[in-house]
Amino acid sequence: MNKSVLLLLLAIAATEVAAALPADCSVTDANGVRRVMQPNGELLAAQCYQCHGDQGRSLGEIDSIGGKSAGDLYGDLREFKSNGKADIMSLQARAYRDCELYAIAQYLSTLPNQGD
Amino acid sequence: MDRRTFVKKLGLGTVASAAVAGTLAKADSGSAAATAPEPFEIVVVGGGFGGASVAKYIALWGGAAVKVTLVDSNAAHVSCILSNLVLNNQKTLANLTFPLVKAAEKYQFAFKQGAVAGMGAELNGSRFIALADGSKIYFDKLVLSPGIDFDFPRGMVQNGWTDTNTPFPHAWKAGLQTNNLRDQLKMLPGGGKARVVMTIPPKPYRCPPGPYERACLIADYLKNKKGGGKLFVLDANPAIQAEPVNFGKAFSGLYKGIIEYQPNAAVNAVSAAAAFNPRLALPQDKTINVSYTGALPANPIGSGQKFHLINVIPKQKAADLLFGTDFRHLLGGKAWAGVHIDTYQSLYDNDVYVIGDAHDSVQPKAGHIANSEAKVCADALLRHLQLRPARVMPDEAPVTNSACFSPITASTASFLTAGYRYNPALDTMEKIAAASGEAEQINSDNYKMMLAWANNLFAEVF
Ligand SMILES: Cc1cc2nc3c(=O)[nH]c(=O)nc-3n(C[C@H](O)[C@H](O)[C@H](O)COP(=O)(O)OP(=O)(O)OC[C@H]3O[C@@H](n4cnc5c(N)ncnc54)[C@H](O)[C@@H]3O)c2cc1C
Repeated sequence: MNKSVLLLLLAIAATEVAAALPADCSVTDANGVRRVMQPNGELLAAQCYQCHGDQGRSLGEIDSIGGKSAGDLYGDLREFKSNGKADIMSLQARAYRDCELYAIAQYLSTLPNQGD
Repeated sequence: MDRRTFVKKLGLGTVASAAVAGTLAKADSGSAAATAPEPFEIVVVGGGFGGASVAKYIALWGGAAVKVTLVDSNAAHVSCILSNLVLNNQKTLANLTFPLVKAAEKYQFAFKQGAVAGMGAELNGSRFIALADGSKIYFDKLVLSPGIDFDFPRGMVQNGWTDTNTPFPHAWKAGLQTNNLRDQLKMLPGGGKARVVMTIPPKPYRCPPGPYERACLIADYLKNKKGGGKLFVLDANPAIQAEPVNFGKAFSGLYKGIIEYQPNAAVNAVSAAAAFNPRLALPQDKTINVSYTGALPANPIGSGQKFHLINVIPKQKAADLLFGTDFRHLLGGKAWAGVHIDTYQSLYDNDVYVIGDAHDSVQPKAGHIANSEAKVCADALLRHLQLRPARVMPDEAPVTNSACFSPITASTASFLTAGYRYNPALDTMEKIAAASGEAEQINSDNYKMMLAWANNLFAEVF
């Protein structure tokens, strides 16, 4: 593969990541300007640790979530949010905008992996 | 904090004030004054679920720019969470006791044991809290998470009655009273003869489902260990305050014939002939004076009736500390401290923050959410010190969550969870209906999850 094809592929991959940003990340500010919101993933993710353990490192039966892939985490969170169930995780997922779930998944993926 | 100190602490003396927030506290090698700025001094009072958590996160997120000191009157915090399980011998106080020195080591802040008695300022403007032994601890920002204290009904507290021998242990702060209540339960007569009363305070009080959970555990104990008996549950509120479906089911199903639930029942006074003596049989000598503010129940309790055990959970207010002369202004005339709910900064004092049970909001007074509030507060406090960029809305609307697991028997549980989100237009934390609810079933899976949750929460805080 020559270098320009590689760059092109990288560029496509990059736009795909950008395109994967949840639609509700787009907000209109007080001046009527559209912009992409940037939730604080570190703070939001910390709200998972009461149940999932410090830094997403669980001691017992509840899943560890630190260091998992952002894509998997975001997929799981979206699934919890939309599954219509009333367990704690499904209820909690409904507290957040998709954009926030995305930021949570991104942040958690940067933490050390704990295995399962 | 005066502006000169603030600038000094930020290392801004000769540095352009346009320096990027977040790098401010680091020494600026390009400036003439290349010495590292002094860290901000943050003092946290109360090493419970709110205080230990906020100390941890300010230290973690503030790094070298802050020096965090946690102060508590006790060397260790005894968790109320799971403390009802001491009553039926599933846990001991030792299982629920967390030395604060260890938490401080683990999460890198300083711990000082001492009872906070006052707050003041030196002539140069430096502010401090004063401990009972007269020593002072200086602060730039102060976070209070001192929990609750009580308004006792007449007769509940008397000279000579201690946590160990009071005939009326509330056990609503975990500790010696929890063991006292456990021992009184153990000494109840068998053969279905035990006559017990429990009272639930008017809201708001610590842990909305907690009293109903305790009622279930006492009823379970009577049923399985004492051949039955009678438990009158007197609720000052008009209805069950949390998990009404599951507790309602337990009261009228599982514990039918044992629990008699009476709403709109306010306790005025209690009396006992003597202190609790674990070496003597538990006497049926206690009386209670109740006002029914709604329709009279089928079997109203009169002052002539005598009981073996009366467990009054008294009416609650912010910790006594906040009613002291130097702190009272933080209450604004109310029973709880008034705060800007998106930051927990006091409405009345910019250098002070109040989180946990002691603050005034629609969020429940509970440990899990006190930890959640602590994170929002730590983040906001660091922003106020310009150690993090200013908050942008709606990107960073504070979100908090709550979870309470309630044992219903010795092997099953229910749960309650809720989410709250800051609404800037109304300046309030709003309960998110879609994220809130009680368990669909009472079962043993919930019981297992309860223990797993508590272990993670304990390790996250302590
Ligand atoms: C039976 C029971 C069951 C519960 N179950 C749950 C549950 O399942 N889930 C849940 O989320 N919550 C539960 N809770 C509620 C939870 O325990 C409290 O809401 C939580 O502890 C509040 O945290 P806090 O930081 O506000 O206060 P606390 O945790 O009470 O901490 C206050 C600290 O401040 C210290 N202090 C007070 N005054 C001073 C002073 N003047 N100087 C120095 N130190 C001082 C105290 O020593 C104490 O360590 C339960 C409570 C009870 C009673």
